[in-house]
Amino acid sequence: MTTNPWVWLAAILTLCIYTYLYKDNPFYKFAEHLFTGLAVGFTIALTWHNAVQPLIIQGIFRAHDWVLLVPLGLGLLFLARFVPKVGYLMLIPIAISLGASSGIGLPRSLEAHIVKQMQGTLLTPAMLQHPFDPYNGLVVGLLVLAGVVCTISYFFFSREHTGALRVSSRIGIWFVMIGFGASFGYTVMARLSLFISRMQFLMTDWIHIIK
Amino acid sequence: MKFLIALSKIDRRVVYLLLALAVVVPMIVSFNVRFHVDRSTRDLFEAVDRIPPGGQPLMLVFDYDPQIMPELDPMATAILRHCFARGIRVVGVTTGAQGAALGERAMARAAAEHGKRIGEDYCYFGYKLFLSMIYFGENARRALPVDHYGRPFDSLPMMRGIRNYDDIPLVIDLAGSSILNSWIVYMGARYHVRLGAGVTAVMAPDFYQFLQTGQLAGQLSGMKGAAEYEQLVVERGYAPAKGLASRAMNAISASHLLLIALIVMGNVGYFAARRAKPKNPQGGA
Repeated sequence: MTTNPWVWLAAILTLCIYTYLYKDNPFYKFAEHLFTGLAVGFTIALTWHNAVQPLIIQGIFRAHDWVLLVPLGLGLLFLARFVPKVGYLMLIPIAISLGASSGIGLPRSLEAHIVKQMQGTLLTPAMLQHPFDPYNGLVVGLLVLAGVVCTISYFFFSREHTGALRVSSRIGIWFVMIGFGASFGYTVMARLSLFISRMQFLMTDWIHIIK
Repeated sequence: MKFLIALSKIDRRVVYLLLALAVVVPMIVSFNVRFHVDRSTRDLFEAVDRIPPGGQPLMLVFDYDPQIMPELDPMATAILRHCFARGIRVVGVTTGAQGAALGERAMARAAAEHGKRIGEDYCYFGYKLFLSMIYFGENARRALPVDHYGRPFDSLPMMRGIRNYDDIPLVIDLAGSSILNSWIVYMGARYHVRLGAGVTAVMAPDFYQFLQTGQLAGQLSGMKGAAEYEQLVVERGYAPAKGLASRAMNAISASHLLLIALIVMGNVGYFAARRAKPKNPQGGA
């Protein structure tokens, strides 16, 4: 076993968390609260040293970049919520943030999530060159096209699902189910990866069973 | 029939114990499970491999925290080993506060292995706001005025000549959240940055669509993606041995087999219990 006190601390906290598998208990609660507190404290300290100090304090007092007073003032308005009489002032930075992020993000988001994805759904003559290519082959292209059309038809509620719409919506729900299955499979792998990593730590760094 | 019904009522603590055994035993009793390298991993590897050594740097973004470190840290290590062994310069940064220490550790460890020097072969800017990273597209110097250790941008030799994303041939975001979406929207669509990704397995299905459209140059998906990248790095002679993710693949395979068996047993038990239920002669429930 290791003699490193930090490894011991990490191992004990790991075991405290895993005691929850039996049932909720004070050891689990202690480790959970400790982690939350540390994470918040760490984030505050890091934000101060990496954002507030270099961008605001040094910018204003050393570089005399007075324009920075504007975002600083707007940021401080968030604190107005603690004074009920002037609490409404908080709405100003919220409105500016929302407006600016929508203005910057919407056109790009449409391009990245709608236009490019629609282009990706289209069949092109180039697909005939490598029909079995897993990204841009004809077979995958047809499958993606069928999947998109059928899935959208499942969510088309302006007409009763009868006739051709019934067939396509039934196929669409199969595509949706396969998608959910793939997501669930990946989620299982993700959770197991976290568990495996902790086990690797306990058996390698702590009790040295594995070299 | 009773035995079959009992299969669907196994105590959850027994399941936990079986799972623990399925994970621990393959770690002790070593065996090699072969696995296929996915095209998305190969594409990312090739995109990194095409960067000329000693030229413009690759940007590696450590957008993950300790909770998901087991999946993304091996990716970071494998990519850094690849870059440093090939002589590719690396700029490290994170837009998540908790990723700052993890990124620093990964970079320092890989740099020490290859004798790389900070400022010349790699730079680490630590935690920066996402807005700063958008602004990097306009003016790199003003967006990242100092590195993680307080050194000014201009004092870092390898950063000379870096004006904006035009001088970064590839950005790889190792993400455990939807921040990758923002990188695709802002940096990808607005500044036409060539992006690659390393994501947790949970997120992987949501980002495959960006591979087909070419918005991502490649993607590593979960621990398997990391193991695949490690395999490529060893195959091409950039590292002598595989890393943590490859060693975890045995445990992943064994635990997956156990889970498949449990799911099948649970379903068999469920249908057996349904058949054993006395049928209502009137056809009701």
